[in-house]
Amino acid sequence: MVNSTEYASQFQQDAQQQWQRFQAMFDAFVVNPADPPAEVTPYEVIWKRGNTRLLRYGSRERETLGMPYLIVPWLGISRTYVLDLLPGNSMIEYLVNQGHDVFLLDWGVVGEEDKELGFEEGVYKIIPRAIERALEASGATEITLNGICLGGTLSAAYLALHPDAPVRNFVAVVTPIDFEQGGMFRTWLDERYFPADLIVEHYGSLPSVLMNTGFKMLRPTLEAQAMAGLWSNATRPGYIESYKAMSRWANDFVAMPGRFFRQLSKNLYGKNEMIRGEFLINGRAVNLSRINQPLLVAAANQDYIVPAPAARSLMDVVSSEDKEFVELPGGHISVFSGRQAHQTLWPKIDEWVSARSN
Amino acid sequence: MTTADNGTTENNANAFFEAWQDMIRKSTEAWSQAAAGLGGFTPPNPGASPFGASSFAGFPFGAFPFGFPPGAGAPGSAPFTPPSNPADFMQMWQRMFETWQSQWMNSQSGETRPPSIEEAQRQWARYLETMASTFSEVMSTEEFSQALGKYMEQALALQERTAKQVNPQINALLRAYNLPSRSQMDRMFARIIGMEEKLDDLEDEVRKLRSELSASRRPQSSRSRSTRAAATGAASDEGDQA
Repeated sequence: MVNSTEYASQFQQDAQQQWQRFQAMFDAFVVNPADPPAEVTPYEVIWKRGNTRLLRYGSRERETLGMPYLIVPWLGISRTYVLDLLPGNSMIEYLVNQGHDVFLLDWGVVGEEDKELGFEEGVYKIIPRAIERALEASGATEITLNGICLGGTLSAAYLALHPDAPVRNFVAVVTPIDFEQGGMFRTWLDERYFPADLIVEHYGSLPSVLMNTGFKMLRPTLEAQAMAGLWSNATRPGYIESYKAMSRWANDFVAMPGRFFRQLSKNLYGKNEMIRGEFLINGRAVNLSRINQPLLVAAANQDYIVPAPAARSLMDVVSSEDKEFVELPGGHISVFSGRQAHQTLWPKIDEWVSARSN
Repeated sequence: MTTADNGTTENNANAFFEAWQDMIRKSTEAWSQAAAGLGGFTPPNPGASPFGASSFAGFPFGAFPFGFPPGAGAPGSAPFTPPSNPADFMQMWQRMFETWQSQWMNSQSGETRPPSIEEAQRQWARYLETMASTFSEVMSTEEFSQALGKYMEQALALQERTAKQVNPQINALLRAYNLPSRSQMDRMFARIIGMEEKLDDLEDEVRKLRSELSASRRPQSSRSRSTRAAATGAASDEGDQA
């Protein structure tokens, strides 16, 4: 039984807290509605081809560990600035501060003209050239290749088809390899039902609006949950800024090139050809056992886009002797760009790569 | 929570569910009528889909038994199971609806009135989580995948038909204003990309020649250059492998 004094006291506390939250929200969304700036770490464009750019981060004068660290992110779907979201909440900034010579292969905003961009061009033209340019810019002879999400799938295919590639280490973050374990997308993209060919014929690509719908459907209540979280945490320092930055990114979808989407949905999600060694690129089978570089595979324990088993499977197929798998707390994105990443994934990558960069 | 409170909550919940059920019924009817209106459209692979081209045309919506069967949605009821007839889109919706209702009712039972706004927020978060898990359960089924595929096919067919009707007029208009059509733009893109590709190849050649030239002048740095060449070496033999 609650007496009236306790009730009044609790009500007062509640009311005060709600008022503070309201003030914080009003300040952030009405008084100062501007989004925080994206791409916080300074960079220069090393190479450009179509919409794709190779970016090098940090100033030229600074001391680095020597070996370039090339990040190959996902192709299409969303923008890559989530890797450099906010000061203090940026994977790129962290790695630069730890002395890595960071390069990013930014696929840019996929346009109508990119509809024929697929694994062939990525694996045989773009990634090799990006590596070459990164080596040239840094003066090094080998690099560390870090694939994230589908960028990891592309990188794995590149390494499998280029056994003499100048890649010392391979880091695969939330990278789908065994698409049979690919979660809900595996069900939705079932080749018996999903009209991938019709979509590509009609649009030329998978348009950003469909991409948006697909990802929102994965977790229909996510926005409501994010809003509820925002209200509860409105008074926490930096929370609203992170929310605004992440919210902008989460609604900034880009199209996926038609050719790439067709290969992804039919050959990979549909027939799971990658892990079986049956996926053909320019007539050559991608045999993942030809990957022999030291390998770090990172997965997230709450990833419903690339569940951990789908990423872990890379460990079983490569011939690398030095290989490590880590399953970290977080979701598909938060594992590499969330608030906890600076205590989990980033230091792990830094430590692992630094130990193998001499 | 008192008995009166329980009753009120249940009444409100039932009213809410009835309203939602009505909304789903109406939207499904509207969607199905639109789909049925596609008439002449034939899916590219009709045999692979349980939804025939005209499945929706004669669907007996009026006869669908609305209202919850006895025991449906009771606490502790079985988790979502796919409909026995995958073509029954309405049945799938109803199962989903019942599962969610059951979980919602479960989360209500034994709860007391939220003592604070904070607790109400936590409760809301739990409801959202319940809803999310229900959606996930339903959307991970093969039936959902079939329905989604069918919906995409129908929507694309509708767009295709509209485009076929409208495109000639748009092209005529673009011609009248001396502007390029989409297909002309596509051809132009293809040419530009081809030129870009040739420039890249030329650049590679120039770099290779330059590299060889400086290697002949400074043989001690040959290791670095040969390693770099490995990144693109396979790219140049791509033609042999294709």
